[in-house]
Order: sequence, then C-alpha cells, then structure tokens
Amino acid sequence: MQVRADPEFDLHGLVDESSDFTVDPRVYTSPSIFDAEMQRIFLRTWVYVAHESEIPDAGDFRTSAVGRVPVIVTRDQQGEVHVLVNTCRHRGSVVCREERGNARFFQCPYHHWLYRNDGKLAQVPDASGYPQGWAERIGGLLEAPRIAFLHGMIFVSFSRDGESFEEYLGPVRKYIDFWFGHSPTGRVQVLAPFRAYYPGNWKLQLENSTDGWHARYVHQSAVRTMQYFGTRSPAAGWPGCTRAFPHGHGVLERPRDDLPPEVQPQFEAFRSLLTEAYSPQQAEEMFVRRQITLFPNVHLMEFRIRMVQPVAVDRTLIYEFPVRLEDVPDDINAAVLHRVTREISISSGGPISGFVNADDIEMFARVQSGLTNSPVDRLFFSRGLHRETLAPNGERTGDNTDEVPQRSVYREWKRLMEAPAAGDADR
Amino acid sequence: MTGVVALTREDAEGLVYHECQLLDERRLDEWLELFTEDGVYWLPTSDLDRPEGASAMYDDALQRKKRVHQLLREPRLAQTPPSRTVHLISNVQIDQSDGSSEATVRCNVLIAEVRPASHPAPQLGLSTPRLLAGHCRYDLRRERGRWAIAMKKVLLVDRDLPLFNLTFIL
Repeated sequence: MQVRADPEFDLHGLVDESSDFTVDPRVYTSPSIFDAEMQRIFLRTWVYVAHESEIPDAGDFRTSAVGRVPVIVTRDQQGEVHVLVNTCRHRGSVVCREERGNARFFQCPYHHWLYRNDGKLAQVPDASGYPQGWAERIGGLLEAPRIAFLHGMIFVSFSRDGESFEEYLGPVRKYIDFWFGHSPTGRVQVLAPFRAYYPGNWKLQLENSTDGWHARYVHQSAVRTMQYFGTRSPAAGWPGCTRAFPHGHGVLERPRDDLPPEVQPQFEAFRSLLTEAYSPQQAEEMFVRRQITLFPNVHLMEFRIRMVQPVAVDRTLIYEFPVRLEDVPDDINAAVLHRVTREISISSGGPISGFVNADDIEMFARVQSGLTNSPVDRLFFSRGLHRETLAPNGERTGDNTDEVPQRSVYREWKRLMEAPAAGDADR
Repeated sequence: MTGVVALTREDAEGLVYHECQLLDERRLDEWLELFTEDGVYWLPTSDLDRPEGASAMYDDALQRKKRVHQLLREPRLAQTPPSRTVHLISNVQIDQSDGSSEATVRCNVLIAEVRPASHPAPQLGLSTPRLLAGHCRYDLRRERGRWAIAMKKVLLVDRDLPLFNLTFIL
C-alpha cells in the first residue's frame, strides 16, 4: 500500500505535551488531516475488522472496512480467514455488495472476473484475449499482508512490517482476557448489531467510550430516570478508575454494582460460575464492568463490541454487537442480553435511541459544530495529568474522572501521524 | 359468541390517527395509555422476527414509562431541542378472524421530522428535515370496552442501515 505525501501543512505539534496536554482542534475538522490519518494510522497499525463468529463456516463472508478501504472478510474452503480488498483488479468495480453471506466465489459483474473466496483469481472469461499465463500473474484480490486473532476478534495490518500484534497489544492484553474470560472458553458469539452514524469525527467516539467524567453530566437525564424508577441509588456515586497503555489503548472500569433486581440472581450464579472456573481472586478481578478502547477503532463495552468506522472527517459509523457468551447457561446469557438491550445504563437502544448512548452522539455532533469555523485553537486533555501513576510496564492509572485514556489515544495518534511517510513508500 | 366486537375501519383509522396526533403533539403520557398492560413497542434494526440482538426500541410498559419520563421530565440532550414531527398514515388494512377479540392493523407511515435550532450558526443534526418511512403493524386487543395496542412494530425502510438519533417516539 502506498502512503501518500504529507498534507499541505505540518502534522507536528498538533498534539502538544510540552507543558499542558493539548490538542489542535483541526484534528477533528481538517480533511487533510483525516486523509493522513487514513494512511498513517489505518493502513499502518492493527485495525479490527470483524469477529470470527460472524463467519463461522467455510465460505462465510462479511464486508467491512479498514479506514476507508473496503474489504471482504472471508473464510475459505480450508477454514482460513482472509481480509481481501473489495475492488476488482480489472477495472475497479466493487466486487461484493452484501453485508454478509456465504460464497465459494465472488464474481465482478462488469466483465465477470471470478475470484475464489481466498482471493485468488479463478477465471477470466475468454482467456484467449490475453497471453498465456497472464491471469496467473495478476494473482487475485489484494489481501491484507498481516492478520491476527484474539478471542475471535480479527485484526489486520496493511503494513508488511511495524510492531507485531503482541507488541501492539502490550499490557492491555490482561484486561482483554478478563473481558472475554466471562466465557469459560474465552469465546463469544456476536448478535445482530446496532448500526448508527453521526455527523462528527471518528475520534469523538474513540475518546468517549472510556471517558468517566462526562457520564454524570451528559447522562444526567438517564441517571435521574434510573433514580426516579429506583434502579439506581442516589448514593451510588462514581467509583472506579481509568487506565491507559502504550499504543493508544485505555480502560474505564467500575464495580458491577449497578445490576437491577431482575437480573441479580442470574449474575450471582454467573459470579459463582467464574469463581469455579478460575481462582476466587481472579474471578473477583475479572467480574468488573470494564470498557476497553483498542486504538484505533474498537471498544469492548459491557457485553458488546463497538466498532468505529471513519467515513469522512465529519462522518462516522458505529457498529455495536451485543454478545452471547460461549459455554454459559442460557439463563445467564438471557440476563446478559437483558442487561445489554434493556437496561438504561448499558444500552436500551444503543447509539440510535439509547437512554445513554444517543446523548453521547448528540455531544459528538455538538463538538463537531462547535469546532467547525471556530477560532478556538487548543483543546485540553490534561485532567489528572498531575496525579496519574505510571507503572514500569507502561500502564498508567488515574481517577475515574481523569483523561488518562484520552491522552493515551493522542500519544499514539501523535506517534503514528508524526512518523514520516517516506519509510512506507515501498509498501 | 357474546362480547366479541368487530374492528371497523373507522375504529382502526381512529386509533392510529389518534396515536399520530398524540405523538405529533408530544402528549406522551396519553400515548402510554393506548397500550395493553403487556403491550410492546418495537422498532427493529434487522429483519429478525424476534429481538435476538439489537433493537432501536423493544419497550414493555415499564421501559416505555422510563423513556417518556426521560423525554418529558429530564434534560435529555438528544431531544434538546425536541423533534417536531408530522406522522402521515396510508394503506390501512385490517385483519381480524371471525369471533376473535384480537385484530391486526397494517399501514404505512411517513414521518417528517426536524429539530429546529434557535441559533443562526450551523448546528449539525439540527434544522435538517428528515423523512422516515416504514411499515407499521398494530396487534390490537379488545379490553375494557376499547381497542388497545398489544404490539406496535415499525419496520423502517432503512432499519438495517446506519441510523441517526431516533430518540423521539416514532
């Protein structure tokens, strides 16, 4: 993949850590910066594309995107997963338009070039129009050179080199294992998703999923509704902490102390199940409500996977998949689904109409509106900078209200955006 | 069979038009009264017959009460300012088996919606009229001398496409 030349202005200094921690608002509004992000971030680092449970059988596929690059995620006849660029090698038509399906072959409708589900070019009609062996040299659909799997999550990198998936994850891995460890097999199945869009930059959602501070303000109407109906104690407070890791990852965590009475018995049984499957201490550490940001485009929320898909500098898609936990009794999964789809504090309509998430979306539109054409030239991400702690493994910890995960996002953003494109030129 | 009442076209249209008026006038406390005790309001985001994954709304009586409370009595940001709507109904069809106290009404709905900005500067998501179209299904039950909604399902044409701010009652 070719990384294009620099946009017309300097990408250095947009994130400034020299005294305070500030960000230039053009990171949300400049089409040039957005173009650079799609190249320097999305075609360079590890990006989430799909979950294996969406393509369980040979021939299953789903379409997705890496930044703005359209891809087909396939499982071939041998069971291998491929992430293929959804562009015909002949004259460039989109090859597959379905969201999901099962196919051994993908045929471009323009001149009927035919590709196998592992991406190889299988047939060009009337091959006599080309010299012998010509089609073999084309190969097939372009394929992401590196692919990695974690608990069924499929990540790709369009860069042949750069840090390994393990290096990219680093110490956040422990918390990802805890999240998936709610299933004794460490596996989940994703269910029919919420699909939403908003008129704002993709990083507004990326920052927000681990923002503990805004909840008491933006979600005041949801919190007050819960209090009015007796499902949240006025004394509940805002316990928990924020964590951040190298490579842009972050965690917001709080005790799972907000369970409504109708699911408490099932969650008690759930906790016992985990205590049997793991050590009591590990189960205790695991059975916490955690929201995890994996830079640049996926969040593990309370029992759902939220994928962030940039479309334009001021337009973003969200796909949010509730999960079913593998090897957990049906009544526990029913309680989990109830929590995800019916509880005010979790989702109940998600980013489309949820008591909570829809108000985040409203804020993203408001921020995008506020920054467009505004003379404001620095935004502040320094809350808690003076009190965060840094462990030798690179993990930072702060108060529930501190902008620890947001700084992590912009440290990684700065690292990738300021790295010269020249080194990528031959990819 | 005694006590069985046929659902007339006038009944069906009267109920659906009345609901539209309540929604357009944001008389949501009165809207709550249109449902049976076990009634469900469903705004699916897929073609699944059951809400097995996400739904924009799958609200029982308590959830509807909570939603209306948040909309009318709390500072709900996504409805500040609130949506203005006009509901248009057409193609009303009635389906009732002989002797049944239940009936189904199918119709199409077109909803024009806008959240007006009082501020002159452009506000994304505001002052942009939208059209939402869908197929509605009302499962009605005769209760206490009136027809009440046991299920209202609105299947939008763009149900499984990315959606934006459906925080008002469709």
